[in-house]
Amino acid sequence: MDQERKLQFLLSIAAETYAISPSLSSHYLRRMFSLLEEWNLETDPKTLLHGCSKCGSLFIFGRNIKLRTISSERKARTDLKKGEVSRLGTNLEINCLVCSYVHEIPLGVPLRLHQSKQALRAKAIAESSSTKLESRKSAHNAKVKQRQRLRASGLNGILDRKKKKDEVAKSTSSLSLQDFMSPI
Amino acid sequence: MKKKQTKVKQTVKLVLRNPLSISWPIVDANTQEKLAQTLVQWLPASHKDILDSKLTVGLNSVNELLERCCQNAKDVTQPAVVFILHDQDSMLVTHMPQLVANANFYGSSKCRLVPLGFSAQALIAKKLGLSRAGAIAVQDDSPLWKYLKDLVMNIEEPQARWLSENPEYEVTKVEKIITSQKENQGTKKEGKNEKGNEFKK
Repeated sequence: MDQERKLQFLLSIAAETYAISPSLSSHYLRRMFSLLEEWNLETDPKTLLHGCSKCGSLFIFGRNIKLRTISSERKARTDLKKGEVSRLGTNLEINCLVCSYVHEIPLGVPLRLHQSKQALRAKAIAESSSTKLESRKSAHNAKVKQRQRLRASGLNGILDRKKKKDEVAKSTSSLSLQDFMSPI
Repeated sequence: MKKKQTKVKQTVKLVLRNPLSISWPIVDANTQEKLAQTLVQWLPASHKDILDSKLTVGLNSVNELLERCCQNAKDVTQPAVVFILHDQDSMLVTHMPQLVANANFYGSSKCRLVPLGFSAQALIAKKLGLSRAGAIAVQDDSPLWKYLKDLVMNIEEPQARWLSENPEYEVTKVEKIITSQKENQGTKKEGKNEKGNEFKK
């Protein structure tokens, strides 16, 4: 806790003395960065936006700092398939206009705004397969329902359906002797 | 073969607060939505029209424009409003409030800063025909300004009071953030183990 309080005090006093004496402010900030390195403390990456770790200048955005985002190639990945290319990463480039020191903070791969072509293709394939599956399911469901109806009607239902079929067959065309003899 | 075990390790990172930092302007969700819809509706679709509309699109381009306003305010027209299409805690845009405040101090006119969030970037980038659009600056003589003027007038401009006033004593504040870092143990395959950090406050 004493270390953290001391570091915060150095940053605060550097900011407060900047208007009075920029060189004194730089001295305090250089002391802060040297203590950070000496004590080997893990800090938020935004700490590098407070001032230059080389000359100790307090960063006044637009006046003594130039901030840009640049794309960076990532390390070769062995988990990619043949023909696939890894996405570019993003680095935050900090240029100190006082001592010309350039510091880069890697930010990783940015979040995707749009779906990739592979994702869209996979989505289309999934949609087509789902439609086929649904059609098969619907046909299967129709058969199942028909069987259920037959079972529900019972033996009488079967006999009634058989009679209906016979009547239909007789009405259409018949080669029996009675049909020939009836007009006579 | 050993099974993979994911173990979460927490680390504490020191956060040093800069007294010169400026907070983001507060914009309510309703205004943000209206502004995003207005931008989607009235932004030009081609690159040539973007130039003719007095717009500056892109994070680096907006950075450069505001830096030139701070360094040489006489020869550069300051934008009337800057839209940020990233989340406020993103490291890409964490410096924007101070940059706009400095531009307001050194420039002749006032510039407003409007955070719209990362969710608005997809629609706006698609409208512009770009892969990404992290920031958009609109000048007061742009055709788009008349549709945005009524919506952004209530938003407060960032101001760098520490440049115009004498510094005041501030009590030392110490902050910390806790992060989670995943580590895989057991069988490891080359190229498949990746570490991810999560920030928690």
